[in-house]
Amino acid sequence: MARERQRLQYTPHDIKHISHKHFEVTRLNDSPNGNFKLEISNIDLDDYDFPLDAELSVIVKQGSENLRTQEIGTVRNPLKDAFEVDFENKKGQITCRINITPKDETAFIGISDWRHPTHANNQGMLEIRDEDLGDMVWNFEIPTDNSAKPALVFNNRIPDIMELVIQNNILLHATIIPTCLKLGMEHIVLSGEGFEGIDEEGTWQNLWWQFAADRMDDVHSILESEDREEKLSWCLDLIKKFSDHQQYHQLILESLNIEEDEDE
Amino acid sequence: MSNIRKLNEKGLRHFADFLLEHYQKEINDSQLPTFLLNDDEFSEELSVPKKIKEVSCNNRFELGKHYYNYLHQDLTEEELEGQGLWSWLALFHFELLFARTFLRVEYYIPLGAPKKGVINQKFLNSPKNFSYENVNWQNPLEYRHAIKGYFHFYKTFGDNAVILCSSSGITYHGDVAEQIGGILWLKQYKIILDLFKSLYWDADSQSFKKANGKGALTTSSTSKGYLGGLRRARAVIDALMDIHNFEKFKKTRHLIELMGDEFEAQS
Repeated sequence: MARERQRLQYTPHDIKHISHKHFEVTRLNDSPNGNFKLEISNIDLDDYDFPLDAELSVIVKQGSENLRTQEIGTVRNPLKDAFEVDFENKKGQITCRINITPKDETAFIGISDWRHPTHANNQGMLEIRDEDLGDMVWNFEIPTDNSAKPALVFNNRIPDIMELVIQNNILLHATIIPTCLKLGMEHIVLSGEGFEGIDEEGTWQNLWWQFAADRMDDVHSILESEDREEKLSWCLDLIKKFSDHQQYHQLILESLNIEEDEDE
Repeated sequence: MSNIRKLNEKGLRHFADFLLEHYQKEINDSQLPTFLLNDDEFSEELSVPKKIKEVSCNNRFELGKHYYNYLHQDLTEEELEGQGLWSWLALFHFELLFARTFLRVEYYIPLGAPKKGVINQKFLNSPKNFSYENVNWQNPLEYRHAIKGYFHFYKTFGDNAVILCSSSGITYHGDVAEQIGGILWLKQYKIILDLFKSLYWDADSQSFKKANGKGALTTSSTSKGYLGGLRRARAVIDALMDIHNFEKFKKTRHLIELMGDEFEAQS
């Protein structure tokens, strides 16, 4: 049954497709029993001309079998309160889709693609979430939809790993975050013709390029380059600058109670 | 009369060993490890003491409903989600629930997700003919527990949950509970159980039937009886969920119309 649901994408109705740019889904308040809260925010449906009294809902999936629908107000007045999700089986990736249904009807007139909620620990450029990764500790995913963000995914089999990396453990933080940034930047400079999406507002490439432009003086010259090695070297320099600004070196020494030898 | 208790880890392990040793064997009363029920070494009181009440019931629904109404306000998260209380209750009611031989451990000890639960690993590592490793045990199997399953069915579906019972009696899990209870997405939408009830439930025989009087539980999609049946209805609903908001269906009539002639003929 789950496979059928994933395969079916068509609809006989004249449905409008809602872009990821026009809403946010944030995961809040994970509890020890595996329940969590979701908040749907920044809903902007002005481009779609839906009736103002049409009803908004979000379908939440976890894994391939858990599914529920949450009503979240109307197009005119979306509800802002977070809601709790309590699935019987707590395993699997969480994905959400928002839907528009006319008042007193059941057929959708607008749906989004499925998207992963952004964790409240979001670092801005990355979507951070957890799922069962088997024996892998973490993974980095480039989205196929440019309006979504690259994802840093932690293994939910390791208790509190997400908080450990994001907030507490500087060694893990300094290892994982620059690696993700490097992988993402390398994707931007090398993928396809190179630098795809950096001028397009609302794409993750545009967001990341702003990050680079704020730190590197030569963003315009690297745009002209067709030399793969030069591009990779440029990415490495950017990550070095970022790491320098974050003072990773000093913070790690402090966390290990090692005093730097001033003679070196 | 004494109080309801919950098996501790030692009690659970002992009960699990008993079930493993007697897999597919007949069990007589003298073999039952009933000493686990009241021995402090193997079991303990609930956090809110509850007297055992006399209960007479004809099916698992009535048993689950009884315990839901009696216990649900007083159980801790650990008691509700753990294995100890439910295993204790299954052992307490073993004679009521036990068929000639027992086949599946989860009828007596609720098995959640494979890596969860005190003794689940024991079953994963059990002898080959009892192994759960090859049965795609990804979703919780707690719906198969004779008491916990119906405790939750009643919580979710209210009195409609009676349609999930096996027509063969209280000792059987039944195909309807299996075909509906094991599907997590399906249980989230109350309208779907209402739909199945209106399409298939025959109160006289307490079973699922199609309009032509034949059984509605054919599972093979290549079988003639599949069309218009429960499995086929599940597949059609699954597709319709891409197009319709199932929270907004208040009555089954409109949904049956959308499902087409195949199902209108059953109603």
